[in-house]
Amino acid sequence: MFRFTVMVLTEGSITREQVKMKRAFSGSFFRGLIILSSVFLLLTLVLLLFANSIRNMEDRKNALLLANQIFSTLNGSFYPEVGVFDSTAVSGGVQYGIRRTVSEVSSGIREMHIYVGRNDGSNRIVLVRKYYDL
Amino acid sequence: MKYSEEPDSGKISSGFSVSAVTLTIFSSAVVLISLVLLVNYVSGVVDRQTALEESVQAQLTEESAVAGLEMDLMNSSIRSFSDIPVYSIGGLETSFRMIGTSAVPAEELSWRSQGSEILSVLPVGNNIFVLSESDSELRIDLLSGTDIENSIEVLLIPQWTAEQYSIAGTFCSGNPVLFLLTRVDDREYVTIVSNETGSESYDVDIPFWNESSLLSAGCVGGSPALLISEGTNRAQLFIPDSSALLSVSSPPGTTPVFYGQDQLYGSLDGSYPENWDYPVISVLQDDFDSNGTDDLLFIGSASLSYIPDAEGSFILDTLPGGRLVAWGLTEHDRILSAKWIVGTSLEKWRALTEDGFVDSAGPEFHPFNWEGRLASSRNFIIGSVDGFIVIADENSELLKTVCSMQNAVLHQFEGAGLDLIYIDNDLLTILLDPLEGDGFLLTLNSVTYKDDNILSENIWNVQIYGNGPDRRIHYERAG
Repeated sequence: MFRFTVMVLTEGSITREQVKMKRAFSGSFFRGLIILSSVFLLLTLVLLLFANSIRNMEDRKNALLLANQIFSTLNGSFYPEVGVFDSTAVSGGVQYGIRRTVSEVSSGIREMHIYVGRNDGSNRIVLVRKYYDL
Repeated sequence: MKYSEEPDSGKISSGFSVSAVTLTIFSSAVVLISLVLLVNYVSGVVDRQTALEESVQAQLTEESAVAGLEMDLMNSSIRSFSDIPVYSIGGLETSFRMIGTSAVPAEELSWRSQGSEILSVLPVGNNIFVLSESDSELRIDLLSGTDIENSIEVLLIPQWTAEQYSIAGTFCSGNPVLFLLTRVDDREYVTIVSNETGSESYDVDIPFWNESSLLSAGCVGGSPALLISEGTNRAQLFIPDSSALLSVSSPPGTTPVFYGQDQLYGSLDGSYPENWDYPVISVLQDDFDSNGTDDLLFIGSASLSYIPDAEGSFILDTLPGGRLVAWGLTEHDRILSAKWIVGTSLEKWRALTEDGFVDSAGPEFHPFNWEGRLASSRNFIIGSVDGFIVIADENSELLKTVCSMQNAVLHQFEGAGLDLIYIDNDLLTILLDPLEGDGFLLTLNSVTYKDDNILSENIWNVQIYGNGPDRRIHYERAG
């Protein structure tokens, strides 16, 4: 390929600088460019693939913080009402849906499940605690 | 035309070929390393997040388990501390192992006024009004429940110039209300203090009132009312809402009082002429006969009147030449007893039976020089000896001095037992249920696990006070 290019160059009436420039944009240069572009594309693809996982983890982390905060306010002599309670909270600019379900396990014992995740139900974490009517 | 012959043309070709291969290898390596790093990073983040979620759940499981243990201890469903059940929740389990036990003194709550001297305290249900003075300023604080650190200042009188004062309290419309009766420049004022409605003062003409007068507060038709008595069977009923000052009378040996749920012991129709034979110095309300209804006990300097269920007939006990020095429930089976001194030093005990008050041997144990109110339990008796509140232990036969009797009051503040509330300068102390004796400290090791994987391990101190349904349990992580 290189030789062919040189042959073409010998036949034309172009200057030495133009030949050098043409050489620079031909053959291996394009190969290198294609390889670099492929690498870039591949890396972007990989990053995109993992970005979703990282975002999910970020969501779970925020959801865990929210759930933990809720439980820390519901301690001491707190005894929850039975039922399902929905609310929302914003953390890190993202809105999270919070669902509390409280059921009576036995007389004087209630179990609370807290589900926190994205509003569409994805990346939801679940925590459980029992409360006693002391 | 000579380009093909130029010596560097081959170099150029060769250089480009090498660079392309190198670049490919280098790029592949970069991609591979990036991929590996990213996979490691993401899997690390996932692992850490999973571990964090498990750790939070382990903490919640452990807290649930300790609360469950508290409930089981309250219900006395744990027979042996070496065999505590395993508590399970959220797919995790928590087990406890006893690692130590020891005795702890009876539980105390304390509250300190902000630099002012506490003058007096008045318990109303599970609330306490505290009057304190600093730089001729009177402050009234309200402490509620066992969380007494969160007190509320309900009244501040900047120039406190009262020559004398008395206090009484009640519950009205669900709120604790304090009556403050003061005399300033020979005029009497009644101030009603409430954390809900603030305070209001009334100029009332009660010339007979002095600091030894008996005050009883109650609620009449939803409005607070105050009874002021000189200890005789006649009293003045003041109802601030209507500014009415009414006369109330009761049988000789008693004095009109409010009792129970805003009930008035006494009559508004003047049924009983004034009688000075049996002046009353104190009134007690308790279920002395254990029939589920509160009775009234009027203590005089030389008389004792007992009104079962606070209505109908009553029993009046007197001893010729005798003076009443101590009274209250004694013995395991709650016998209403009274100690009299006849003449100069002859000690006589009288106990309430179905036939009225009869001579008795007095408390079987603790033959001390009791005075004032007595209260007892299975192993302890609390009362006053030589001006101090003491607790006598049947097992050790020892007296433990707690405080001066001038600044102490027995009151059912928390739970079913009597608590001792006393003050010392700027410190208020509530000794919870001293008749139950010392508490018990249980040290436990908790392990929370999933399958065989231990997620959390802690040491817990569990303090247990009292017995049966009135048992109080506190727990905290050690360290």
